[in-house]
Amino acid sequence: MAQAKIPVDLILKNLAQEAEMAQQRMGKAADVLLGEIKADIATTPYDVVYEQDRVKLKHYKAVTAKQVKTPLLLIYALINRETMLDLQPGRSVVQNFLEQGVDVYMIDWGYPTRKDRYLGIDDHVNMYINDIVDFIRAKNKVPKINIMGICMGGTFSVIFSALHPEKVQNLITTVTPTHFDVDTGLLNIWMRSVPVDQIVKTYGNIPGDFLNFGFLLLNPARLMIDKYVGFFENVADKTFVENFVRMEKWIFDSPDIPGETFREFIRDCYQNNLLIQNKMEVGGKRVDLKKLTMPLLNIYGKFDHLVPPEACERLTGAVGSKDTEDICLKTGHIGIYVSSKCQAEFAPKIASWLKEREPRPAKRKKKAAAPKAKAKVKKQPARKKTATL
Amino acid sequence: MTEKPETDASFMGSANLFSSLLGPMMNNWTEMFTSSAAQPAAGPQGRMGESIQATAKMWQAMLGAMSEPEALENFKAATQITPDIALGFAQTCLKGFLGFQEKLHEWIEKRGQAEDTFDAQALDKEFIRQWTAAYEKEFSQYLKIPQIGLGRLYQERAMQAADKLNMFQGTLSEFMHALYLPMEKAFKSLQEKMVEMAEAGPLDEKSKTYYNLWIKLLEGHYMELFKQQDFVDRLGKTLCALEEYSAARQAVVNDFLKMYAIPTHNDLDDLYKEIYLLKKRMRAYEKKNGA
Repeated sequence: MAQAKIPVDLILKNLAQEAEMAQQRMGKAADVLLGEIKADIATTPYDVVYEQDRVKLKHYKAVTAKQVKTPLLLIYALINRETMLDLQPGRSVVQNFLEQGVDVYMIDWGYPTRKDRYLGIDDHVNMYINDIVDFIRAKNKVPKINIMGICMGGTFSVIFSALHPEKVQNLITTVTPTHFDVDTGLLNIWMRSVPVDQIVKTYGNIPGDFLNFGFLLLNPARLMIDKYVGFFENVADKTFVENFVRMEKWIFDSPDIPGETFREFIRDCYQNNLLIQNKMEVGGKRVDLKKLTMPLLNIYGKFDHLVPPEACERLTGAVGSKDTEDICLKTGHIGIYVSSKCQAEFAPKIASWLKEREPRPAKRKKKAAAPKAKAKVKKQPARKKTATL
Repeated sequence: MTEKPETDASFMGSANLFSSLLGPMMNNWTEMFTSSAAQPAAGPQGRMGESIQATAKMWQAMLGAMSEPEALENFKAATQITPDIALGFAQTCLKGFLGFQEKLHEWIEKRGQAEDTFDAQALDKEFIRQWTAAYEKEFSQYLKIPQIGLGRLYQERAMQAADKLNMFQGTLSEFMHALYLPMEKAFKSLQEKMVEMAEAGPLDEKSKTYYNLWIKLLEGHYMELFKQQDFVDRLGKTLCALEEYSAARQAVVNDFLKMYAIPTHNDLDDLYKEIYLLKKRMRAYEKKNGA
């Protein structure tokens, strides 16, 4: 067999040209990196309206008239920070909701310290979330509010809605794991072998850096090598650099996770998969998904390597609600919130879904005795939709 | 040893001479410290003079005793025995060392016999595993010897920390080696792909093409590795070793902190637990009483 001819001379010539281009790029990069880089995140104005221990409640200032009267509470995960929902102007889920006339509140879980190590899921759901929901209900004089949960925050939202259905008008879950016994996600495979009791005993709270390293290890080729190769290729582009730095700021801003919450989440969810089986107990009460009777919109990503579709799609079939909808977007775990294509679809879809389900104001009884024709009460038909966008 | 009368006489003569000279010499030193008109007789100088005198008297007595024939005989006998004792001691040490060396050779021979066929690919992996296994079996036991004395607890904790560190380093090496394997495979796969591409037609001149191909191969190999049960087990083992080492190290650090009356994590955890439970009871109480 004749030996393959590898054009080494051409490859070397191209390498030389690329090296020259790289040098020119570095010159421009110096101007970009040493100049002013606008990489602030979470710039949408808000007020902190409630505080409890390390937890704060942000209320975003309206930019237009309210189209959806019922307030929407965003519950983010304990992993990373909720600032991802307000990454930059033009790519802000919060901003998009405000422009759709939604009254937005968001929980800021803060930075847990050693004294928070004994806080479990019960404390987060039945204390912090419950107190915040009661606060919003009282402030707005509404019996129920809308809740949107993200990832682990979605799991908490599901638990809360099952335990306190009387307080939730509509529930939206995004990239929310509820069924953990799947083999398509690496996290699901790895968490089964993690010595969770030993980790919690050693560390108290699970360090954010420890989690960061774990997430990077899920795809080291792309997350530790290719990402930075891409950065150096585009380092002369100021807009690219600013967006990249914003994302880096967010992704490595990892608070610790309270040890007890981590233990319960790994043991009850990842290792025993109790939630979807209606066997999980929180605060001594069993979480029965059949009691989740409010409308449910469940959104997840087809290419999500952290929370695969198989971990999300069983929820709508397990709840007691007759009004459920699954939407599978062709994106990854955070692409739903940061990709410009999804941004254009995501918030408007949710806002219109919420508008359709706004509670109608109760009609006043008139004192006049004249008989009236019976008002036609439109019954909402049971709907179960699944869509892939 | 044969007696040498000339040596004995010379030694005795020297001892007697030194002893006779020592007395006046010490008196001169004492006078120098005590007779100065500028300095009072009592005080530190007086004490120093006494101390020097006492030392001189002791030397005098010792040398005087040494010059006795019986004492000299005993001293000679002791010096004659010393080389025999030293030789016996050296022989014992050498025997022990040779025995240890023999055991080491036997152990190495056993390891070599365990590999039926020479597998170059498995050699790297097996080497690290063999080292970890060898450490656990042969060396770890020395760090687990029970300690004695007042500071035994501290010594035990320090040795345990050293043991856990070695174990952790071993398991970490295995883990890092596992993480390195996809890199090796990706380079090899890239070479094979390039040969295929070259056979199919002229190769692309852009290096970016090969980089993209390599990164895709690398990603694929990592995904394949991460789903293997062997890797998952190794991940679990590495985490266990890390936690055990952290706990052992923390125990040593706690000992130091306690020396300086600085609260340790464990002390604070107990406090936090109490605060947490108190707050919970308060909330329940407030709810019950409608506060």
